[in-house]
Amino acid sequence: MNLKDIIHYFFLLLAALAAVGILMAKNVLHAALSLIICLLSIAGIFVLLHAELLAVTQIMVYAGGVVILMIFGVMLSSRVANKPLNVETARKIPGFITGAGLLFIIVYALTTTSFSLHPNSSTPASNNVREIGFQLMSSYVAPLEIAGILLLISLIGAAVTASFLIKK
Amino acid sequence: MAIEHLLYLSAFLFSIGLVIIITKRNAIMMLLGIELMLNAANLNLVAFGYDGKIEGQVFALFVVIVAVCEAAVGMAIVLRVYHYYTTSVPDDISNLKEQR
Repeated sequence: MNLKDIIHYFFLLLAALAAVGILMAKNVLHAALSLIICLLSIAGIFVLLHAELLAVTQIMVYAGGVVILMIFGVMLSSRVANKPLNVETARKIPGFITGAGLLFIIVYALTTTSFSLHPNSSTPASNNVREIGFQLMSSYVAPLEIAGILLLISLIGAAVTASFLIKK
Repeated sequence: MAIEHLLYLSAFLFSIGLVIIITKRNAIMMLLGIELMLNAANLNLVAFGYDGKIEGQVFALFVVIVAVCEAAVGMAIVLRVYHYYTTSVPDDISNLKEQR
């Protein structure tokens, strides 16, 4: 077991613990901070899997954008309602039965399947970003443009939906 | 490092996200659970593209884009609903229209 493996399993464990932290959190703010830890450790796993572009995107978009958006949402909504941010839980037993059942099914499927992947035959790390750039501008240019239009539409939609708050 | 361990982590994160969506009585917590599930799927895509293929990474990139759109619109709707009903518990919101 070399240093890379140790870092890999450290990030694996951290992501799992942070996910449990989200589940156990009573406060929405604590849950959002646990989500940041989880997303950053997944970004670390992406780096170790030679997916550097995706790791940087993950850090910029999720940890820098989505979670800050959610924290702002938490603060704004608590100011409107003037109530504490504690979250009640309901339907605990059906929820845990569903989650444990899904986990059991997936783990059963994974243990009975053999994957013929060869982790050591990966391409050098420096090629990947360049290759993704070429692919995005050649094979995947239509999805890229559609994704850009979708981003614009959702940006305008979110701004219009939230701007009614100011008008009132 | 084995690919199987990543798949187990992905399954675990997906199940936790599902449990969060079912059990928490708060719309923002539900959005957090959805983000967690999307990330679990992304982890799978990248893990299977580990042996030199980049299709999984490209697909995961588009998943991230759609997740951002969903989070932005979702937060806007949650803020709107919070402002109108002064609650973010989805179970308490049963009226689509103002009652006369």
